[in-house]
Amino acid sequence: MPPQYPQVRLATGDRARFRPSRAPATIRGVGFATTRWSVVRAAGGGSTPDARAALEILCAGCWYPLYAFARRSGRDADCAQDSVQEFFAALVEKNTIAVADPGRGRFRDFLLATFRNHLRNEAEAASARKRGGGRAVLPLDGRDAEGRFLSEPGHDATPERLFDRDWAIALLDRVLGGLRESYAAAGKERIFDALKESIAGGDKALHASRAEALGMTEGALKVAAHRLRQRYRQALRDEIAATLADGESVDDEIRALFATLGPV
Amino acid sequence: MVGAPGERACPQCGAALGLDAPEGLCPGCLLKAGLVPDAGTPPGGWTPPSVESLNPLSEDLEVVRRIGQGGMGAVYEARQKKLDRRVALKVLRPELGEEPGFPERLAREARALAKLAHQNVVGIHDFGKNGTFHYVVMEYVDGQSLRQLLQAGRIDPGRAAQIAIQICSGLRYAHDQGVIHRDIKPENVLVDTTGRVRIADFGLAKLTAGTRGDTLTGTHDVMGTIHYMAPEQLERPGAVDHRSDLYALGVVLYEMLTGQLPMGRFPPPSQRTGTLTHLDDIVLKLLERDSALRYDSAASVLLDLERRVPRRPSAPGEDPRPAVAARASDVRRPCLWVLAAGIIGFVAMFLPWMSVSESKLDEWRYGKGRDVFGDKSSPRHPFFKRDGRPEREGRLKFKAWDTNLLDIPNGLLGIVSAALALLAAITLGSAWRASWLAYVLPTGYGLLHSGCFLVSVSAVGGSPEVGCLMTVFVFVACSVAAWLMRPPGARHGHPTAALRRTRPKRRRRDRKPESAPSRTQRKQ
Repeated sequence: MPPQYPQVRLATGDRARFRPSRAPATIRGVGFATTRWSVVRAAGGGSTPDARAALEILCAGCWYPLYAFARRSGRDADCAQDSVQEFFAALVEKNTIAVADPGRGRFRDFLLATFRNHLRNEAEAASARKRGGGRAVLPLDGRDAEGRFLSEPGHDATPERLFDRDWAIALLDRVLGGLRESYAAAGKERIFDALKESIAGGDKALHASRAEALGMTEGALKVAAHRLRQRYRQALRDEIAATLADGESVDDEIRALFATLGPV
Repeated sequence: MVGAPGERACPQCGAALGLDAPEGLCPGCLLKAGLVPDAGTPPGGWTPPSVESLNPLSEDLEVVRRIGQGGMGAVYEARQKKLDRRVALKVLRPELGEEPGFPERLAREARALAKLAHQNVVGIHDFGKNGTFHYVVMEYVDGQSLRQLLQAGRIDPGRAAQIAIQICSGLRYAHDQGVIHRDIKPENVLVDTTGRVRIADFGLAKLTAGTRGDTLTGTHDVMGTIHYMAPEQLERPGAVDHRSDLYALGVVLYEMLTGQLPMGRFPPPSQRTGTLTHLDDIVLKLLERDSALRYDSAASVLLDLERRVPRRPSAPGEDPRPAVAARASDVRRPCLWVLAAGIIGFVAMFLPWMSVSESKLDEWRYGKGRDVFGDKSSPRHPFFKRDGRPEREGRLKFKAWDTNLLDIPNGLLGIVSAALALLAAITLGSAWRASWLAYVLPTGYGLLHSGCFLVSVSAVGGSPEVGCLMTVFVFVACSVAAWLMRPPGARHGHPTAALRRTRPKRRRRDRKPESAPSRTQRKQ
């Protein structure tokens, strides 16, 4: 009997944006300290609830970059979706994930390399592809993802570079989404919305007017902004650290991701 | 990218924001915020300790004033009391010191730096800890950073090349000692008042795990340094080797020549500035994304740079300027001398033609017991055919040379005239600084001289074999002397290279050395 995959509910495209970060907050709430590699290895450990949960996180995090990469390799929307579904299924079935170890380098490098191999194998066995076929399908919002893919500007960069770029964007999405959820859980989502621009070093002059709107003093608002920035920074560094191999520096990875965003 | 519906620009960095911008914020700025230690204060917002609070730093050090502030800390001017000399004191940010294992790393780096002693490398004197922060004592460089020079205005290609040569020299030394800089950028290149270039902060890049990249003035972008980082440095930070330093050198050189950074698909420097192309090859090879295609050592870069930029020996106090761009005034000054030498040479050519006294001539001719005129109808003596009798009257207008080499006065006369002619020709060639003239003029002149000699010998009826020998001798002497004494601009490349009108093709793998200065000279 094929393993039953949980239904990963990913947000549909409100505001025409793909928001994979709406993965179950409960798992995220377990703590950022859970490294992605351990999650991956847990996912490869069999059909335990932990493995399935880990797989959810896996899919939520990197679905779009893989989808975009598959599209750039020449597949159409449906094929690309299928490829990604199959890839995740194959990852667990063939226990490829169990083979992944931190000594092999960053998670995103591993992922891209494995996915590329998968695409290659798929292309070779193209005739044997079946849709669905008894396996539970991850109801990923293909329509919205395709919309986002088509709206991307034309690049002359390589698909690998674009994969890294998509990865960076997806990473930021996850971190901000997680922050938003934790603020919402504390009933402070309005504050998050008001202050989110200051995370990227926004204009502090607006604080005075905003403080009034939120019913806080300006001083309190500044403190809240500072706290938000610190939490964001910690969350970002944790999230990045989770994808790195031993001995790699978070700062180096941040700089590398920054470089993938392209010339400013 | 800008212009699509729904696209905005980030208010901080100006980058275009696509539909995929996380929470509508700029991804670049979001990533940057992950680097800065305290995201609340702007980069460089750490207040360095005041001069008073630092004094006395130790028994021997007296802090004088603050010079500036960088990403790693603040730099002060200090004085070593015992030795009574100026030193530079770098006080490192406290956050750096808090990282685990920092004191050991600092000690290790300082010891590695202490082994470096080179005129283009800022040396380290001491390091230590004072209360909360660590400090490093280095050589004091009285001058400004390359960043400040760039902000003041564009650096001309000759000066840029000279600066690059000195950076290369320092890098070659350091790489030979096994030290990689990892953070070459204009802020770390110091130019002192005598024009000497020193590379600062060698190896210290490994110490900084946190913020990096501020200039001394604190206004440069936090992420600015990544532009100088080689691609492999960004993708695989552990795989950095000395070639990453060479990439950074390429970026710095490009920035010096064009005033801009090489980003994306960038045009070669000559296209940006419309000037000489002779540095293009070097810059592009340094900026190769694949480190295997770059220069394999600083020594080879140095070789190429020195080949392209002829170095005029400059005294230490002189601003080193290359001989690449010859100015018009350099050409005009020796004109009078050239004219004089030319006239003398021209006249000298005719010296052998001026007759020795006729009686002497007769003596030579008849004293040899040879009737040089021979048969009247002989075609060897076309000039002397005068109803069969030797010309005795009047001045002989033709060469009165004797073919007997042992005849010293005549021989000397010939040699002196040839030498004068040669000198005139070389002076002319040097003054014009054109490589092809330097070859053609003396050689052609020698040919002319020899030709005249040969003709005269036949006319007079001397031995043609000896005549030929003399001709060849003079010709070869002229050519060899011309080659040896050719002007500096013509020292490399084929002489006919100057005659090529099109731009040399830029082939990345196998390039031939170009006699580039001749192109400048032709423009003069």
